[in-house]
Amino acid sequence: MTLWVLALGLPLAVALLLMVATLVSGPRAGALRDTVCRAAWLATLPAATLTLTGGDEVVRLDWLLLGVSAHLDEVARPLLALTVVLYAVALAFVPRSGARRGPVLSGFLLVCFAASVGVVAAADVVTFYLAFTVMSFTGYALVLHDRTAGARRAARIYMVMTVLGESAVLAAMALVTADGGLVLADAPAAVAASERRDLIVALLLVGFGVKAGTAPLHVWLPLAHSAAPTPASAVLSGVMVKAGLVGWLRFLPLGQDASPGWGTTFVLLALLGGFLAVVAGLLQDNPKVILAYSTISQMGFLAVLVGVALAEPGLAHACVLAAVVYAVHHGVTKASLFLGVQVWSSERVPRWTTTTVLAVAGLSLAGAPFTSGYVAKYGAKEAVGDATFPAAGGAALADVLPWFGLGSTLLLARCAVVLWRRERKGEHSAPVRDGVWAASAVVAVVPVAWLAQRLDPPQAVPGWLSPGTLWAQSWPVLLGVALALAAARLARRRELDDSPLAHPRGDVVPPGDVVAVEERAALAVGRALRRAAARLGSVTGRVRTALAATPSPLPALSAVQARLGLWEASGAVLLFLAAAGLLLALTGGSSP
Amino acid sequence: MNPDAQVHESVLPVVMLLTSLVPGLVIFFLREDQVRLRTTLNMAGAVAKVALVAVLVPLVVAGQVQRAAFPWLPGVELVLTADTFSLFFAALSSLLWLVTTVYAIGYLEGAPHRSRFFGFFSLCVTATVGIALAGNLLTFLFFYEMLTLVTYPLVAHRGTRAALDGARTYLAYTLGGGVLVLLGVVWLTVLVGPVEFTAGGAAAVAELAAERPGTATAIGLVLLAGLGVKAAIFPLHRWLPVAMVAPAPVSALLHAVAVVKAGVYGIVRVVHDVFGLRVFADLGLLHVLAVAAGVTIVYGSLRALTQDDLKKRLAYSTVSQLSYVTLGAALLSPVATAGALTHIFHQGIMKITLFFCAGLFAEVLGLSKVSQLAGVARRMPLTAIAFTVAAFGMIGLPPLAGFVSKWPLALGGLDAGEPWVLAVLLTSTLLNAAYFLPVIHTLWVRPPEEGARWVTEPHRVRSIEAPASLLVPALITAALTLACGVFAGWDYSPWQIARIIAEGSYP
Repeated sequence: MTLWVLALGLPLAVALLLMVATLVSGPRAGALRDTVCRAAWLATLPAATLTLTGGDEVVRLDWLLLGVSAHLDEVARPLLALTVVLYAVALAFVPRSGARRGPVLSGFLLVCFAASVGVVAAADVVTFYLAFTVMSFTGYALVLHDRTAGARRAARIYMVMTVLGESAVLAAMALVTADGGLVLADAPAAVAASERRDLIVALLLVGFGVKAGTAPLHVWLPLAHSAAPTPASAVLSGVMVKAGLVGWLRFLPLGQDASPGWGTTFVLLALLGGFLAVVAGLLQDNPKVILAYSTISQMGFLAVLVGVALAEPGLAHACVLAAVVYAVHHGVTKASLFLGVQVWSSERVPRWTTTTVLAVAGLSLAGAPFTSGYVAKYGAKEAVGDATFPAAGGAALADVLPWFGLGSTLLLARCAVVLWRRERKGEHSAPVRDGVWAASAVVAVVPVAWLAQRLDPPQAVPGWLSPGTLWAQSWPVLLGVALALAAARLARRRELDDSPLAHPRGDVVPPGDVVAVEERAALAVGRALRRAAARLGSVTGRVRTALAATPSPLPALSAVQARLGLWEASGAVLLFLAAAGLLLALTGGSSP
Repeated sequence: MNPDAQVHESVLPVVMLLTSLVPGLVIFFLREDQVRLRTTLNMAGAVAKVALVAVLVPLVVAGQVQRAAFPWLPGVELVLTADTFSLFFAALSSLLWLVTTVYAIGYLEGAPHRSRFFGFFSLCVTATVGIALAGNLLTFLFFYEMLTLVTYPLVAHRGTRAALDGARTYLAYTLGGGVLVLLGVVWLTVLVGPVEFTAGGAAAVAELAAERPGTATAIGLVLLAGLGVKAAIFPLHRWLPVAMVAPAPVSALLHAVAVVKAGVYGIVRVVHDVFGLRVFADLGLLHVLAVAAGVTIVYGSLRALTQDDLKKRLAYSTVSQLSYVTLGAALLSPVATAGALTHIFHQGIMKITLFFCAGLFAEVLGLSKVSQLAGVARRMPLTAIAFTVAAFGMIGLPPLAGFVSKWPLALGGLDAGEPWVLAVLLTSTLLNAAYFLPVIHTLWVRPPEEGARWVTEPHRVRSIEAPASLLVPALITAALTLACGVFAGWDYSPWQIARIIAEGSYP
């Protein structure tokens, strides 16, 4: 219990300290700010201890809000570990990220950290919604942090999408609770048994789909990731988008009765987003935008697992665990890549070191042998078993999943090209921190493999040297590299010098792809609402004018008002009313 | 409203009234320049009232009801009772009166007619507490009409053309409503004799409803229409946005406790303690009320969208938010009832914070339009924080107070078999976000306009950003907004007390 309070309280307390220190001016406050900011990552230590030593019982605090509760089950603990590690590294990266107002950024990251812990560890609906909401709205501050024109636009779009998602989530939470799913352990069964099951699943898909970057709700992701300071992008992609996944795993009726229709819908959207994101991403020229598209694609991979779990109750448990393992793998790898952009661009680290670390992280994301991706992708492929798309019978999903690896390879190759051309400044270095970054990228395979081992069965662990598995995991990467090389050769041709497809600059498909369309739609809705409101005003105004034409006591009243001062008038009327009251009481009292 | 409560004859309810009545009457006769005496009287009364409430709360929660009755005329008594519900409302009034008094003293420093202002100000609170403590319909009526009249000089205080117009509209509406309430009360009293508020409904009224449902329905409708004026139910809400010409502390009190809450409090009393929820539902009136409230919620939010004047936007927001209470009171579900009662308290602290902040912006920087507020957070960060907290609370985000009342309302709607309530609440949440978030965005993010005379470098405010007497009340109520949410599970939190009260309505 104490550990829980510390794990959540310390980050919040430090965040508060940072915010207060920001409001106060003066050199001492400034020095305090910078010191606290540098040491802010230490605030994640209680949560780290909790991850390692916390029991799996449900912890309750009844006086807090409407009663909050948390637990560390097989879904929560690995994701909590991921959260702690990524936030700690990201916080360590803040002081020299080049972001202005580092202490403020650290403060918001710490609030976000506490909320992320809450999202994965919540044991009831209210706690989950509390944490999810705080995380979402703090995310706005992270995206906005740099205050550039791009950041403002990204933050605005993030906010609109978040508010829409929040409303869907709130509706779903209320319906789940009303149908008896207040405790998360009961929620899937409650949803399965509910009369409003389809409505709830639809709300969950939309609400959490915004966070998880499900097409066509993904539009905020590429904008937000490129606008946010790099440490914030890292946790955004590594942890925060996973909150959508956690929501699905906690509330969808997985492992209850089969819903092939919804399963197919999830898989369809997942595949659409997963593959179109590759196309859109290849046409960008900002490394962080490309990585964001890669995240959309990878979240599509995870959504496939969720869809299968929905459609085939027998596979649900395996799919849930595979999704957790995959989320941990993707979180660590993607955060390393994002932070790598900062290391590459502005830190004095030998070029070959950075290149090696980034290459390992990239290969891992694509699922090459001996990386964390190898373990996670194999587990996922085994978990979907012989599930098909559509669920009623069609293509075997296990044959579709490897193509995600090809997409990842292509995106990362594109990212490498863009990064290679980028100007480097190499201003400063922080050896310990960069060492941790390199280590977390290179040895990510160890904890992921260990986790998979622990969850086996039903989680499947690949043989490290089985030729069949090695080939199955290698060909997408090899094919991707080959295609990338061919494309690079092709792009060198003189006659393609002006082709926007051969040398994309993010103008064929703008970052956020369909965002412009959705933005226009949103603006139109806003205008329509305003017009409706204005018309409502004028209609009531007209009615009022019409009514005013009829005899009214107002002129008489104003005459009275004019004749008597404010004070005397109201005193007189008060007396009069008291008398009227007496009279009334008299009649009331004398009747039987 | 607790049926097994022990009733004690006690002078405490009367003393509670006197703590504001006596200072009010004395202040009328003070000269303008007797500032210190006036301030002392005001503060002493306000503190004494809060202290009395603090003493009474544990007693009442433990099941003791304090009652004071005066024979007024043969067969008619003025009854003041301090039961759980009345104390709940009295607690809100006295708490917010205290902070508003501090705010008003700072706000009106050096302004003319302060004795008149503070005199009526005290009477206004006396009337509100009287409404809270009223033990029967007649007592309620007496204080209800008194409130209408003593608030009028406050609205008209500035004496400008606009103020007089606004005050006249206010008076026309509320007096009209008052006449309806009077009619309803007289009608009911003539038929069944004086009606005491009873948890779950008065027996005599239930009998009347069984024997003459037509008459009972008509009486119910008249009462609802009358009370609906102060509760600002569409289309009777018009006076509220107009009355925002009043000075900021008056608007704050008006929108948070005094007038509008008297309306919704009356509706809850009539529905729950005069007719009884089931009787009211059988008469078909509950549904009418719920639909009217639902329409008002959406209407108010829609109108708030287009207002550029900050106080007007807040006023339409009040129209919308008040009907949350009415809606909850009109749902046949204990959770919804508890949510509605909680919202009486929570809407009060959140809305008063917003009006305090609007007053601060107007007083310190002379800004009253949303579009002028660009970048103001750099100059007034604490005010902006208070505003942001309260606005987030209004949208209903956890862990703030607004969530604690909105969540049970949504659950209660589903529990009562009215899923449309959830849709209304969600629409309102979206619209709330649509009219509050741009204000927050403007405050914090947009760069100040070129040449705005208040612009300073960020983080380089030399002294405190505003007079402490204006800033501190806003910070206190903003902190309360957070505390009421975070500590909702505490035994004496508004939410827990509201749950106890709500249980009484379902015997």
